[in-house]
Amino acid sequence: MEQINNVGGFSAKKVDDKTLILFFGPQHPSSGHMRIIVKLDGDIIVESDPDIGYVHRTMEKLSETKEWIKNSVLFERLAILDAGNVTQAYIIALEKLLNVEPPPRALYLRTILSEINRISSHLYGMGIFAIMIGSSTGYMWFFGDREIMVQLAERITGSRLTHTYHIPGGVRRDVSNAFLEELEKGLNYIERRLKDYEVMFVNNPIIRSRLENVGVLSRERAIELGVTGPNLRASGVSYDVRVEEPYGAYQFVDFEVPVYKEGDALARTFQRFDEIRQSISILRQLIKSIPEGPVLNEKYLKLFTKKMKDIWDAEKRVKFPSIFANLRPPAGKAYGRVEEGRGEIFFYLESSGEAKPYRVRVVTPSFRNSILLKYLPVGERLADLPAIYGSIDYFPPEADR
Amino acid sequence: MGGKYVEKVVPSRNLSLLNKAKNHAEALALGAKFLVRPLRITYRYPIVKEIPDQGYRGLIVLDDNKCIGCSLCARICPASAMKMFQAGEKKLRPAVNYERCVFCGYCVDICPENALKHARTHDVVFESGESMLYIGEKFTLDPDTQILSGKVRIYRVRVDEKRGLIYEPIR
Repeated sequence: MEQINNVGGFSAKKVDDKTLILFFGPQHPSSGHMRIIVKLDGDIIVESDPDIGYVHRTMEKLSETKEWIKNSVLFERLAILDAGNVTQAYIIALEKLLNVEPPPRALYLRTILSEINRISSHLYGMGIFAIMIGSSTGYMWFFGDREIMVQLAERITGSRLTHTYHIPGGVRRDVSNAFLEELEKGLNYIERRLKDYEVMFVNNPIIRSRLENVGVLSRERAIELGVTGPNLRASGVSYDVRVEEPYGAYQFVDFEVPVYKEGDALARTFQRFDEIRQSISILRQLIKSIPEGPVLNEKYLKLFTKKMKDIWDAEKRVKFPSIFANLRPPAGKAYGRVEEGRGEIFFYLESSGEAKPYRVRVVTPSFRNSILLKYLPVGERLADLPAIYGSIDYFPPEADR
Repeated sequence: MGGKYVEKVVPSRNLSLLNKAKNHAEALALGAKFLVRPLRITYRYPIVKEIPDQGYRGLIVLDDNKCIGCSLCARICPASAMKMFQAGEKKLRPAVNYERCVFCGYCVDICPENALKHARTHDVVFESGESMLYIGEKFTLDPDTQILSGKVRIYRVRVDEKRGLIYEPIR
């Protein structure tokens, strides 16, 4: 086999006069932290082999060396752009082990953060997608407008991306009415901008011609491959954890989960846009109906000293009872699942009654979707590979764990 | 109450030539609109400075008089950034290493005497690895006062319905 270095910035191997093996990534700007090894006949992809694992950080094993509450900080580094949803899944599982329930206001606040995260995660995914298919205007707009959602998340939690907002039995901070007004303003802005995106991005004939009938995933194939999230729903399968197993405050609001049938890159794009619209509607309902009350379970509120109560009254900030440094859930097993921006994230926890978990298993949506990179590009042109990659909203650090 | 699935179809597939021309013209017109009146959401960072909202989790400041040396902050630190040190006879005081700190704020929230607090500053330049260790008196100085007394103009960010984010000078 003849080695050819540097074919237009790629390294490649020539098989025969017609066939070429091309190494797409890991340094390529539209491959992320991964490599796709594609076998080309001319410019038609005949074989595609995703090579993942470049950002593997031994998350599951590492978590066995840390105390229960510290792992929440570790796991939000799975998907930094959607940290609120990831920690929520872990905390839901931990709450099942500890047998505590968050009060209603905490549930509402969790869902507000979840939906803010979902909008910002979708805008992030669309931004990367836009630059991959060459629309730098789309990239700038999506990333710029994501900043509004990041700012709003900062107002709730005190941190732009690594929120660490969920604790067993509740959340760490309460919000003021001024924040809820500001959130409403931010939502109005995003809703108005969605119309601009339609003109500049989705209905733009250039974008349309890059996406229509590219990377078609049929309903049967999607079920067979175990795909999750918006990619699954864009192929006509009705499945969403928020509906199947409601958590947080999703049972108190009315919302629609869009399901598209076509399963191509364009349907996946529309799927995400519609989900942003639904998130806006969910957030508006939550703002209207959020109940008053504490944001931490009674069991932990009882442990508050006078000083801690004073700080809660003055700053609406939860001080941790000292038991949090040394949580020991009774021996047992529990799971938590949450619909993240990119699909369903699943945590399985096993406790042996110690201060550290015995075993933690994480199944992330990006890992489940990464199999698409093996099957979807086959038969398409090489130039469509970034469009397929971008449309499935794959996030390597989350898949590699 | 709760969610329900709604089947949808992508509208207007296979655009006709006329529709393509129309959509192109609309996109160009929108681009022209933003050329005249751009939506700028950035600001001139080193010249002006944004001060975050109250409650932002920035650098950590110790109040030496309130601290009782209970070491809960060092125990709960997920990144082992906070450690306890001897500060005189039978007196323990925390120190933080910003090489490791992830700004989760667990130490601030678990402190039973409220001796730790967050400053609103987070962007500090360190010249060496040793200078990232905040120990003793250095840990008790509030970095906000240094920044706010400097010559830079201070901005605050506000969410706006029309412009997205607006940076307003407060000084």
